Amino acid sequence: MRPRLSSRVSLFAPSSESSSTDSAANVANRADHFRRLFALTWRYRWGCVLALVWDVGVEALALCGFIYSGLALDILRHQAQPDSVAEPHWPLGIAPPSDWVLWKTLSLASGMVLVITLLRTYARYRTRLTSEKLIQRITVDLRTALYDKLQRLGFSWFDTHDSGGLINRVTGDAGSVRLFIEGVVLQLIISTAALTLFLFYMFREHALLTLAVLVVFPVQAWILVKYSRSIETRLRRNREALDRLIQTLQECIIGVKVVKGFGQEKQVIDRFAERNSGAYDARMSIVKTNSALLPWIMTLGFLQIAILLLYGGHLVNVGPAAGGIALGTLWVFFSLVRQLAGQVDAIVSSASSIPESLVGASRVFELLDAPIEIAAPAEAYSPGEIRGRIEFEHVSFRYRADAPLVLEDVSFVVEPGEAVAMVGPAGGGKSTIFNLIGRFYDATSGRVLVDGVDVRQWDPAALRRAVSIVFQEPFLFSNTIANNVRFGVPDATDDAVHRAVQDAIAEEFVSTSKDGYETIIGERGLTLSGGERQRLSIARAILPDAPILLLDDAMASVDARTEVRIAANLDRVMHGRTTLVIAHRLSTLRRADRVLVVERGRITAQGTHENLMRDSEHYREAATLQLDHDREEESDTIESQEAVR
Amino acid sequence: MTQVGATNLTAAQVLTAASPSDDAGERIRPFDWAMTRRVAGRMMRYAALFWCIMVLAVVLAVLNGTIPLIVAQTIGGAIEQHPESWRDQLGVTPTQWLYIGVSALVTLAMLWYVVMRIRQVAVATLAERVVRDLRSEIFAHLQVLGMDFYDRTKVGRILARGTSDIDALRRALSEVAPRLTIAVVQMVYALVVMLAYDWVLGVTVLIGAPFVYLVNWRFRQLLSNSYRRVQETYSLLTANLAESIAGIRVTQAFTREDRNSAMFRGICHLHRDRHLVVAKAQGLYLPLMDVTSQLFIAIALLVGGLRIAKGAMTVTDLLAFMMMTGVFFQPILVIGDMYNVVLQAMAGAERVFHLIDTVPAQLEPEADAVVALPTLDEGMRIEFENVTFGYLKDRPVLSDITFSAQPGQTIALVGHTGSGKTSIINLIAKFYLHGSGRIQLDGIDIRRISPGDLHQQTGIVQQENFLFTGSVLDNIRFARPGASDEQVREVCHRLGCLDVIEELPEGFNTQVGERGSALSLGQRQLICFARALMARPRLLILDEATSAVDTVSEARVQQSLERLLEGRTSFVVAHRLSTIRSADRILVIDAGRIVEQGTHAELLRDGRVYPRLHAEFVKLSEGKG
Repeated sequence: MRPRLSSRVSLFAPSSESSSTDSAANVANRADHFRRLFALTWRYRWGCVLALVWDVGVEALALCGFIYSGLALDILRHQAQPDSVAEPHWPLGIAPPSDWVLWKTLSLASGMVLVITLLRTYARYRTRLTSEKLIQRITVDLRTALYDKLQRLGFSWFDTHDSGGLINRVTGDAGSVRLFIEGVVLQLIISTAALTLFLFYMFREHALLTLAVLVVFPVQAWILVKYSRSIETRLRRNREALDRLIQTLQECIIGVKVVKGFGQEKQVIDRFAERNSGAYDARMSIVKTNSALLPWIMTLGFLQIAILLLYGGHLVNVGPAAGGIALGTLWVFFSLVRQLAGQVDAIVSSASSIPESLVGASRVFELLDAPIEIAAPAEAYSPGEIRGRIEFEHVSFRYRADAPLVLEDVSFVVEPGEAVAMVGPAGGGKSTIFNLIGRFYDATSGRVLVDGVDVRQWDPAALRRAVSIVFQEPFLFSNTIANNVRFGVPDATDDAVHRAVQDAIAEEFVSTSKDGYETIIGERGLTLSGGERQRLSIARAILPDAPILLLDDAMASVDARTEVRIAANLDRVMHGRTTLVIAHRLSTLRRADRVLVVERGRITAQGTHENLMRDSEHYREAATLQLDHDREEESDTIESQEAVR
Repeated sequence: MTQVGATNLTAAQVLTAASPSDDAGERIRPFDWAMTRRVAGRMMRYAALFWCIMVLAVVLAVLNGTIPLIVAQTIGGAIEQHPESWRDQLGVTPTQWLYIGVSALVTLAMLWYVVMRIRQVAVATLAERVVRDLRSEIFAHLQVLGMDFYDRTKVGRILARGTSDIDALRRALSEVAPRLTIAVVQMVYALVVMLAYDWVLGVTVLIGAPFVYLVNWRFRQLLSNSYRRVQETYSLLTANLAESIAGIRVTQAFTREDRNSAMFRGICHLHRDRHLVVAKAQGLYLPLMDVTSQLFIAIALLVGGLRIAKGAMTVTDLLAFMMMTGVFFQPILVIGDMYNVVLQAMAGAERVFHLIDTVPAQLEPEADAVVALPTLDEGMRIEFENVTFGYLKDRPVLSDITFSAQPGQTIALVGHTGSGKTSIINLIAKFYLHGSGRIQLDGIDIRRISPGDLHQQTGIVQQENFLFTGSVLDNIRFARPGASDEQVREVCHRLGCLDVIEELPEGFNTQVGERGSALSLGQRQLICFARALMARPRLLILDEATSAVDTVSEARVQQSLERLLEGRTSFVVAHRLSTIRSADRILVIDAGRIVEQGTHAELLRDGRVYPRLHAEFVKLSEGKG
């Protein structure tokens, strides 16, 4: 017998060996990101300075407020014990006349506290607004820049990047770049300024007392560092435990048929219970570390006060005249210590957010730096009138450098006004030909010409306006029907929209919808069947009145009778224009001027349908085997059933 | 013009006018007593722990109030010369008094540490236990729910119940009750102390308090309203972003890049404006709370000062009073926070309980009607008589299905996508209950058979060859958890695929990766076959995967499949010609009906639809090869 194959404990647990290795390149990269982040911050320097000025104002006013309430205490104390307590010392020597009675001086001091508080409120309000405006400016700038970039990247880029990650770049990652500017750069400067201000006052009042109070901060910092080290592995373990829990949950949902089909509900419940208590344990281990270390921070804060009391109390008893301090000063110290703790907290938390914002920044920069593959040439060809001639000259194509060829030495010509159908098995390369005509990809070798000009010489925008496409997958936006149809021509009149919808035989279901053309479609609105979606995307493609129309299996889900009606309308609308159709029905082939048979990346036959049927046995066989003859109502009923489910 | 949500944008100014509902659902729900009682009920399973937490909360609140009091007394006592002061009456020198006060403070600080530490552990233990129980409850209920639930609910949505919703609940569980207790006790304590020191000042604060609460309340409302509006534009923003990426091909084909960018900038600006509204409210709210506490300090200084002058109170009293003002007003912010936590937890709890309350489809027969399936060595006998079925009431998917399968026969189901093949399989496995007509397994009405009993005798292979994360061994053993390693090897040997598995990098211990991603399609298929055989099924359901060029040759898969089918009744949703040809009977399904049935030879000779389908298959198989 061989060694035991697997232990029960590790059942279905992934062996996690994720370790981040910091290579030299990584460090260089990080330095580069830092440089770019600071360069980015520099663009917003005036906003930063303004926020900084307001914030320092807030801190300075806070200090003044404490000084005046401390003064009031001193006045009172002097009043109660005129013999043993010295005259209160008014800040900057600006004191009321000495013959003022108590309630007047007291009102003045408390009045100052109030006035300063109001000023401080205003300054805080301005700080908040200034920094929010700054943050929002950065966020909007970043988001729009990222979005704009996303709009212009080529199809091949989107083929290799998943959409969930892309959304996060514009939302989350842009946020972490903002966090760097706001939380790291700005916060560090502000906290440093506040610390300097407070410490300056404290040292001037009593250096030794200040030092005695400050002793606590290094201890707190040491605990925080120790904490963050010991919590890191626990946090990771917790995340892993949670990942395993979610994985089990997710797999049991996706694989529910396997679970039920084998009657193994009990087994997965036990496994989930195991994962669940694993997550519980991981979580409790964090709580234990938290509860052992974090309360120390607050406890040390109390000890700081104890020091202040012991030494400060002694100094107050000594009195300012003999090298001690006034009670009011102790009060100020007492209040400032709390403020200092806040600033120290802010520095620690902003320092800890640096790694996170660097990761986000690197993803943002990666996107901003991605090359736009389909760029306009220096002297772009953008003719006033387009005839619609399409020519492929020995075109070969592969989607990725390491992928096999999808098109191999394809050559053909479509004359202006011609209607050509393409037929062949799935994966043969028909859709790829369409992608090359619109220059959504560049040919690997050979040339694609429109009106005798290489598509790479064309202005891409002009080329794409000349070519109207109905994609195989009829993607519609969650917007109104009218806005979807006028997607390519945003200024199109309602009449033009209605005509396009009529030509696509879509008017019937549009007019019976709740709000007609203003009905919003999509998950939250009207759910359309596949056939209905295809008809709307045909309407969308007709509206721009482009000289070239490409239909990629555009009526697969439309029933045969409707297809005939749409085809008749297309013949009328597209009269004199070039049409290329990927077909799956015999009727479409019959209507075409010419048929191209595309198989395994090559054009294996071409000619009219009749000629091919007569001459090519292969075509005859393919036509009879592959094409649907009589699936009339079926496709639509199934579509609607699926839509409901 | 169609307006977008609660914004001033029209549908023409955005790409996505209606944000598709996300899996997380609404973030907050109004307070609901029934929901609270249900959550509290789950907490009360740990009643001792709960009351312990509440006691600790009271202790902590008292400590929070006492510490500033000690500070004030210490400093006041040390500096004041007042014949009536405690210090003079006790005959203690100022320095001694300082030492006593500081020692008391340090002692209380240590006590605070101990209480805080115990409290944190206790609170987390309670919350985590309730969370753990709820998760298990959710999961167990998910196992009871039928396929109808899974067919109509998105995976992400179910996942969110066990993750984000539970997290919202966790916060409320660990924070609300204890922190509210602390807040209330702390306020009462501070108020009593203040009144005891000087009732005039105390009453002054008491009069001001409702005003502070009112302002706080008003701002909270304002803030949460404007937060909601920010949330609205944020979902608009992400929805537009998501559709922009999903629809990028359409955008570029219709050269809408510039216009889309302008639209997105418009949404970003709207979002920014709403953020600024929040910032304005926040910018006023937080300092305003500060103003009130400073206001009370100023009032205390003035009123207290005059009372000191009259000899009604001492500077120490005033100092203590000023400190207690802080203790009194600090909980306001906490209470506001808790309110939001509660509303979020309500939203989470509602969805969690909605899932737990979902009534499973009644597939289990009544206890007195249930009949056990016989355990035989031969395959199951299956008969359908005029069976109809629909996932929704008035939309039949299957109608008038009649056929029978003798023990050991292999039945191939052939037809276009959506014709109803999967629905027939769903009925045989009793994932759903049929409408009219009769289904009999071994001569027993399927309505009288317990699904669990049936599934014990069923093996299932899905088209996507679903595997769980884990080792090959774990996956094969899934069908029979008690099986020994030798039995697993024996099953693989019988299938003739032992060598294929042993050639894997770590043999049976090879990790299959998430959903089997570390293996080739052919390897995954063989493992799924082995898993099905492991169940020793009398009934085998097989949704055949389409063939693919692979490291495991087609012939190997074919050979294993033949061995798997041997001696059991099998239903195969066929995608391979060889499987169809060797089937004992072929059911040709179209639009929910059986249009033809018979053997391959019969159908090819007499059939109307089958020859064409067959030709299509031939072509496909050749094209792939």
